[in-house]
Amino acid sequence: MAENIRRKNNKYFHSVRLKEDLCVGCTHCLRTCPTEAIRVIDGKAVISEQRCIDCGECIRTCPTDAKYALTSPFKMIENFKYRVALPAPSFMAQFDSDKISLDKVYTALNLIGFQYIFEVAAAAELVNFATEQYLKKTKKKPLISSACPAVIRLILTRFPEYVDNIAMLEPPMDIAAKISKELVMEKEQAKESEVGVFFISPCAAKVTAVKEPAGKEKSPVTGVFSMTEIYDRVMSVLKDIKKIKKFEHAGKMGIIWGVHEGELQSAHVKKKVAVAGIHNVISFFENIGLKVFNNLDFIEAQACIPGCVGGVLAPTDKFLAKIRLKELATKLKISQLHPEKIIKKYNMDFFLLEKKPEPRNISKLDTDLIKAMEKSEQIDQLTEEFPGIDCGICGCPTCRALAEDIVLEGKLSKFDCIFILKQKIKNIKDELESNDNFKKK
Amino acid sequence: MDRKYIIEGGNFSEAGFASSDVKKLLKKLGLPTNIIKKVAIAMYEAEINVVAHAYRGEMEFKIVPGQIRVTVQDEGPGIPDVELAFTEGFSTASSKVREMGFGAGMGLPNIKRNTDEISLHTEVEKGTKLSFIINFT
Ligand SMILES: Nc1ncnc2c1ncn2[C@@H]1O[C@H](COP(=O)(O)OP(=O)(O)OP(=O)(O)O)[C@@H](O)[C@H]1O
Ligand code: SF4
Ligand SMILES: [Mg+2]
Repeated sequence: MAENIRRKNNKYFHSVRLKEDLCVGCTHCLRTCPTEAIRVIDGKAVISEQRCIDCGECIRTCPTDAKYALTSPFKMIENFKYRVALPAPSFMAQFDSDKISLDKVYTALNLIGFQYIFEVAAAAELVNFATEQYLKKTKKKPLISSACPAVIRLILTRFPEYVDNIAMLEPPMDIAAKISKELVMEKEQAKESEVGVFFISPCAAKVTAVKEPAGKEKSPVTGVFSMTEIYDRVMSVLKDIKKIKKFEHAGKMGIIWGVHEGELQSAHVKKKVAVAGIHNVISFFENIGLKVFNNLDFIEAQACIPGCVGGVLAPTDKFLAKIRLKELATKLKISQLHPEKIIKKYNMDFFLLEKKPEPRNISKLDTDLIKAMEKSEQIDQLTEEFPGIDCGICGCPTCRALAEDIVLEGKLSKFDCIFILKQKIKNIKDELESNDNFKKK
Repeated sequence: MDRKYIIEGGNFSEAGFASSDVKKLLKKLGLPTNIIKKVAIAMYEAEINVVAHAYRGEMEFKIVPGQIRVTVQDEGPGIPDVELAFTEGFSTASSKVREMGFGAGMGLPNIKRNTDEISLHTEVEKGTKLSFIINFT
């Protein structure tokens, strides 16, 4: 299947990709990438396998739509007799409920091919219960929510010291996939291979989380569709709906997971904080004092502002969607799915990740300490030589990044810096001129 | 390899700079996470002590194979009873400092717990010099 193809010579799967023919090498994405994963090489903005966390910031900023998120092809559903749609909580906010009710949207989902709809918000309600239990038992505080895969990958690559703080809890998407598959298999007396469960995703990070999950071998999710694509498909069949079906919906505490501070509301601990926006998450982890950090009980951290409604694959304006989701949450206060009863069917193991996500230390300069120290000093010295204006013309996001690339990769030289090159040319010219003068005399 | 930092008494918003800068360096040098944590905790507590209790100070960080050495020298009131200062829960922190969340009397004990060697020289009304070593393999 095409979507299994990894990016060129790579160890890690990534959903964020580059359409080379559309890329004009403009350096917009270079500057916005929070992990400095992009380099413009031969006029194309190439993404580093090691550093990319699939947050989607480059997709957001690319002026020519050259960066995109690889999602599953829709026709994939045809391979399954029974198809379940797993709409993310943020999906519930994509439509104006005064004109298009949620039941109408779900009826449309039926029409485009999903016999079953299982709201991820319903799974989030169960995860709320599990988190409560987990918080009571764990000695490791603060707990960092495991829900946003971009943040998890950020921690794995740049903040390995916080890996132990990540909650060993399955995110709602995975819980929704496991439960819905089980339900359909039971109801239809179907084999596992006959049931496909498909996540309707606001982001690229969730695609990666399914293709290459952190904390387990295999994801229970069959495929991931772009929310924008499903939105368009839903809109195009609305006119064919004859009768709107009735669906049961999750309640406030699940729905609200789609926005910043949503998950936080169900973490019943004293000291908690919610951080949104990948750059904000980075500065939070970098600058928070140890004492303050250790004093916290719970951290909700999301790559997108204001939460998942701000994901790159969500079509509706994020602030509008945020208000809609909050209104919906007030309207659907009480869950119609009785999570307090469902939770009794499962033990805690059902909610736990199989294994601890593994850090990928990318900041390391060398495996040998002496060499690493030498390299660090060389990088500092080189950085001093550069003008420090981070112009991006060399293809690196910052002057320091160029210095690092020169020392670590050896592919570039300091003359890739246009200022150093200009100085060199000037020096040569001056020298020639002074030779000329000498001759004339 | 070494680094030097100036610490200003009373400047709480800048406190923590030295320890987070060193933390970044140690990550790049590829030190094990548990060692980085120890260094960060010990340096942070030492930094805060200068900010909270002294007037000004200088922090020197040095890494050689197998060992990290840190020295913090300050001009300040000094410590009249060193043994007492190392007692968990002992603190002379002002109410202003306590309001900021410090002053639990856990700093020095914490430094001791996270380091392999520690020495403290102090002279009342002059200042304090705290040195510690963290070994790694
Ligand atoms: N650099 C210093 N100069 C003067 N006095 C100091 C210095 N460092 C520590 N002390 C004294 O030793 C006491 C104990 O220090 P310690 O770091 O253990 O606790 P604390 O700073 O009071 O509180 P905490 O570190 O838990 O915020 C301090 O209250 C202070 O009286
Ligand atoms: S905040 Fe939500 S939408 Fe954004 S990357 Fe994380 S999981 Fe995806
Ligand atoms: Mg202290």
